[in-house]
Amino acid sequence: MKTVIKTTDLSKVYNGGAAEVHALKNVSLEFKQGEFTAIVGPSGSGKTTFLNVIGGLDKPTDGHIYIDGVDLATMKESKLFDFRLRHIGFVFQAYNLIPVLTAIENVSFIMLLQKKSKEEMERRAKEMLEQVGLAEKLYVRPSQLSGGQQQRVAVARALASKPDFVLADEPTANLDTQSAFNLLDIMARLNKEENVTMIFSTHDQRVIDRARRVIKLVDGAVDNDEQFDR
Amino acid sequence: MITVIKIAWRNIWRNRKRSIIIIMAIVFGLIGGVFSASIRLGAENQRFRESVENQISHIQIHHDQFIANPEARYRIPDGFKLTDELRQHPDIKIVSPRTVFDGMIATANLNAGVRIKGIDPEIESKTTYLEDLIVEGTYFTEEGRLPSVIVGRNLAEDLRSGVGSRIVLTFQDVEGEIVSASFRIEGLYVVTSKRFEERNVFVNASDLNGLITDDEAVTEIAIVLNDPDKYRIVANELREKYTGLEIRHWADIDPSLFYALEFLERNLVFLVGIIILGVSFGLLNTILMSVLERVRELGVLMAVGMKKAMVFAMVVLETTMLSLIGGGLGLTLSFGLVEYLNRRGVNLEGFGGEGLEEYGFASIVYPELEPAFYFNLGILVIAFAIIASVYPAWKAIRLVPAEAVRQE
Amino acid sequence: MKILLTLAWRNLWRKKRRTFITVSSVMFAAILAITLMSMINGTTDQMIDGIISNSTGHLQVQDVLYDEEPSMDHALEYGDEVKAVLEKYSDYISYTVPRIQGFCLASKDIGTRGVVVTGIIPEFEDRMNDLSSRMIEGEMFTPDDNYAVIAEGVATQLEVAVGDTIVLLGQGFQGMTAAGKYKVGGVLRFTLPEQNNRMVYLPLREAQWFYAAPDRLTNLIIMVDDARDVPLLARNLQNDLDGEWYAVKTWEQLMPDEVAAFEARDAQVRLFAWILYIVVGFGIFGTIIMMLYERLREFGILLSIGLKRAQLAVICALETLFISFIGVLSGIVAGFIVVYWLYLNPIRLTGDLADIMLDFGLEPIFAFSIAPHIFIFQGMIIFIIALIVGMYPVRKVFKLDVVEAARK
Repeated sequence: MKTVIKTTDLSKVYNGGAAEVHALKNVSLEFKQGEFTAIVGPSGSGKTTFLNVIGGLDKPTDGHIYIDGVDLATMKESKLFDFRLRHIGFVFQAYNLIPVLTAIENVSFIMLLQKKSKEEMERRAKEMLEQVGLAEKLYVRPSQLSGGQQQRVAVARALASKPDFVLADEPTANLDTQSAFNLLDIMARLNKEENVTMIFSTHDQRVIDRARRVIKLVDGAVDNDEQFDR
Repeated sequence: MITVIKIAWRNIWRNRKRSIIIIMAIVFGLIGGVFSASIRLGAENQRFRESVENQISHIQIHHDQFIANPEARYRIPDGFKLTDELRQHPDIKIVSPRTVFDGMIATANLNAGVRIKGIDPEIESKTTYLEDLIVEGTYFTEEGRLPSVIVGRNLAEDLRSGVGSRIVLTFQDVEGEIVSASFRIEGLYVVTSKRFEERNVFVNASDLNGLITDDEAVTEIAIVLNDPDKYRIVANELREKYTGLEIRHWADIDPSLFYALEFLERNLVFLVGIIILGVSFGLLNTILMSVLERVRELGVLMAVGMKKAMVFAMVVLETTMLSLIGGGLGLTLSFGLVEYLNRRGVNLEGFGGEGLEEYGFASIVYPELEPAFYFNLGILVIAFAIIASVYPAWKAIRLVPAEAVRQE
Repeated sequence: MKILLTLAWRNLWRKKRRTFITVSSVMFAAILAITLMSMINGTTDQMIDGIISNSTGHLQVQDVLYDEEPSMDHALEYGDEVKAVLEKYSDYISYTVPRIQGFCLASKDIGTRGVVVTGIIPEFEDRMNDLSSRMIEGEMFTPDDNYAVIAEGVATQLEVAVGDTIVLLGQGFQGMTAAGKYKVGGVLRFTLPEQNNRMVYLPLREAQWFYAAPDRLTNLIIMVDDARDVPLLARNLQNDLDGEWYAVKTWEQLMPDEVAAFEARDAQVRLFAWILYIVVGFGIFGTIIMMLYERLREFGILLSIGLKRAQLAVICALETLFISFIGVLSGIVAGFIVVYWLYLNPIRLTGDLADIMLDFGLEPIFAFSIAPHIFIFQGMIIFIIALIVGMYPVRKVFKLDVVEAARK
């Protein structure tokens, strides 16, 4: 299997006034294509920081992130925007859909920014919304969707542009049990069908139980890294 | 209640950026309002000085035949006694007795009809500030062979003469006999009216009284009041007391000037009003926006059990505190600004006031303001800020907490 | 690109209340600026119209030497040549007011007064300044009558009543003696003392005969419909008339004092406009900055899912453009309604000022102008201010910390 992400000695220090906070300490990890990985750990263990750094949203204080052999840590901001757009899909805890756009427009949004053709965009957006079970809700705005439905749109958006990997920060935190299972089913299925790497931070046991690899962070350092065969 | 005040105070510090913006909006609004009002008053007083006080004075007294026949024979009976009496009046600041009549001014080739004003140089410099209006030459300081005359710059140009030129004044004495005498131009003055400059020349009253053979002659008394606004009251009072004399205030003497000044002043009151409206709307919108943004936060407070009345009180208290801080700061700064500009002056040249100096209009305005205005504007702005906060606060507490929390 | 436009447009409609507040802050700015300028222009036109119709008129044709030496010898010939030139520009000329005037002595029995005897055509004088309405006794003459109408002050000083006869004596054309006996047919009351004490009117034809100057005028007043035509019309008339004989003078050339006074007022008033622009600019700024803080999270999300900063900046700029445009447009419409209402129901003045204005034949109001250029120009200024202020969020987009903003 091909390595999608490789980090070496990744560190992140926040200067929170008087005290320095070491959010990440020498994290060296590799993620292979098609992985379904949960990053777990207590609050403040560095989960979100880790996702932000490998997603190119935040710069590490030290260390490197290689994606397809390119180092994100030294990339200029203008290039990073482009890189994120082409290689990474995001799913956030609070859905973060664009409120003024309909479901299909939200899913098409990234592809639109990638300047894909109109036909391809529409076909793919419809396909993805069907995949997440929202074929009936193409032209509905986020405010008229339930939380679970909104998060499924967010997943469709993240995957529609065929990124190398998807980062999801606490995707189920705002969902009830039924919606959470529903979402996880969809994500697991898409992970296999599209063969896309998925990494999500979580402290939700339901999510952890579904992951094939679980990495535990404690105080910004890797405490445990286990593979499961599911 | 103490708790609410505490929470309100902490909220102000927690949202430091928002608080600073509201305070800034109040401060800038106050400065704008105060500045425009102070320019208005400063300019009004300046214009009054330039056109009324430098030329006419607040009140003038004459013999009742003098207006129709401005000649030396129509003197004010016992003029100096009347002058002394008037000086006792509590509302009167300066009384300037003059010997005034119409005559001719002539150079070797040219002549013109003028009003010759015999004055006491020292008193006159406190009455019409004539000394300050001299733009060339000096003000009754030279003891030459010929007596001195001060003429308008425009008249000097018409007569093709200047400082040092010899001119001849011709007029009738108290008996109606024609008298001519030589004078030397000692200084040139400038006022806002070219016509005034062309029509009025000033000489020493003692020189003139010798020539008209009456050392006690007074044909005109000019009066300066302590409070210029009382000109109508004082004039009416004097009219009742001294019935035989022609007593007129400046608005009687030059109604078109009264119209021009009064019309402009009322006009400016409206313009200042529009600016203050602008200040108020800006503030209203800024505060409305800042509270709308907080609907979610207020919803959370209600959700965790804060009473609606307390939430309402908290929002209004916050704005009140902010407007008190902003109001205090803004008034202090604008007071400082007006005091500073009052000394330095505001140059209107950049606004199209170029070349006005030539006409005797100062292109520099010295802003000034009554203390009451600061107080009133301060109250107004604070009241506006509170009104602006009441609507969104009321709106917020009417929301069901769950709904408010969900608002983005 | 289209998606950015869509996003910007839909963002406006999503938060209607927020958009409404921002739009209204721009709208109020435009309304206030329009009202301010409409008042400034309206009252300026009003004052200029008043002063023009009570004195010089818009334009005068005079003999070239008359300005230097206003004597009857310098009366102009009002013949076919002048009439032909006036006919050529009749589209711009509203009407003309011919006058012949000179200095005379008026006497009855033993009393004698210096007066100004003016020959007029009452119809045109009435059109210019409603002269006949000043009649307090008797009747205005027709062009074919041969009696005199005199000012109240003249009547008092000479002790004449309607029906009495006065003798006029003066200098006619080219050294002729002007002498005549006229019955007094009416008495006029003027506000300005210099008019009330000096004016005597005769029918134009009679006055021309009296001055031995048939077909001659000292001043040919030209009134126009639109005061803005004056400079061009003056130039054209001067070009077409023989410059050796005729001089065309505008009211600005004839009344330099008044023009300077207007300029002094203008400079100050323009400063007020600037203060208003700054004040409303800050108002809009406060509103926009509040809106910005509310939206930082939204910006953070857009940036984190892959929108480029430049693209987000375009969205912000488009929103600013929409808001400014809608605000200014609605401000112009609302401003027009406000100003038009004030134009139809002007602010009435009261007190001494109103009395004086009525005496001058002016309506005691604050006039508002509805000239289209006010709306266009003020709208543009506010639009530019809103755009400049609205660029703040655009700049902010480039400095935004993505992680922090998305977390809010």
